[in-house]
Amino acid sequence: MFFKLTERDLDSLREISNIGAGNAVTALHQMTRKIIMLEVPKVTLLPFGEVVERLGGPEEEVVGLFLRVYGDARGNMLIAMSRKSAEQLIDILFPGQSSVFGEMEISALKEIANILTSTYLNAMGGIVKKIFIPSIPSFSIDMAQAIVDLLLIEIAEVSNEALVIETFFKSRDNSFYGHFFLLPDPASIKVIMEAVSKKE
Amino acid sequence: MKNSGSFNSIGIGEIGVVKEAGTLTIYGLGSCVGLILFDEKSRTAGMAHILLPGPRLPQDFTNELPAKYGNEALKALLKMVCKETSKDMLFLKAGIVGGATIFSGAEESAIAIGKRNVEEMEKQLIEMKIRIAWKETGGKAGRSVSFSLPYCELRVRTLKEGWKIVPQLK
Repeated sequence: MFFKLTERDLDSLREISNIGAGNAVTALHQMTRKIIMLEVPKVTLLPFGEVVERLGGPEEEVVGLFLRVYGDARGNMLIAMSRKSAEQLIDILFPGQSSVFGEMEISALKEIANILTSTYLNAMGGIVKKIFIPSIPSFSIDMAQAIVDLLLIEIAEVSNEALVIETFFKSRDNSFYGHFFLLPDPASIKVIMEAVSKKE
Repeated sequence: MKNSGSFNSIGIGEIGVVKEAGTLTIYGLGSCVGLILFDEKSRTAGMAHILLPGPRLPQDFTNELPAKYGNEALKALLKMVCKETSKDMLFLKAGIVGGATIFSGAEESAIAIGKRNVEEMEKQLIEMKIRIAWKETGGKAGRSVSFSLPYCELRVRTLKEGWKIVPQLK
């Protein structure tokens, strides 16, 4: 990593992510009418191998919605959930759709991802007075490690660890759960930290 | 780095070696590439889990992972395999697995990573005059790969198709 993050820095990151994720699940609540619980974000510097453990191990089947973050800071974002959660979510939002991941279902999930990540990034950006823009999400269902590979690429070119901001959410009736992952590019961590300290 | 155990799982950027009996495994290769080297004479096999073709800057001083970059991985792997053999290695075979495109429609450079990883390894194996005996690359699905001795068998698993044996190229 280019510079050391203090405990306080990690706290600030946790704080702004919490607001981002909080807004995102509010949007999800409005769409699904489900009560959604949000865990406090985990902000950690993880060696590459460990990122995937958060998703239940490297071969676990995972639905991933991946997008790049552009704007004042760059990074990768991933919404990951189990196949069952993704199917449940589609079923709640679009009753009567089939449970196979056809074009319609994938498109619906991408749309959800788009709404959630835009909300997340807008809320986070609003606090630190920066603009974060999500790219169009792409979809995959595959082994967890295969999905995570792409998250690590930008970071791997300059570091052996990734700054991982992870937030777990689940509906109170246990019909679905998932994770937000935000991995800022190493060069952008400084930008975010400076913006955070200005805010304080 | 792990050595001659019965069962080794190799993380990103790491290298594993087994001699005579044992299995080397990488779980969930996406755009990453698994490189396998097998020396028939000493019955030694090595596997590397490669993330990127090469560093963006000429040199990455922070790197502590021997197989993170494809352009360094083959040499590092050769060194590890050589350590296990007293003789000159003359009967080397290689295998390349992985380099898939998991997220189609994602950023262009990211898409090309899998393909670039495979190309880099092919280029290096040709330069070192090592025969490619197994190849299972590209496509859209993540793969787990295992190589086991003494059977000298390369297996690949996808979520859709399960484990299957990769036949040796002629």
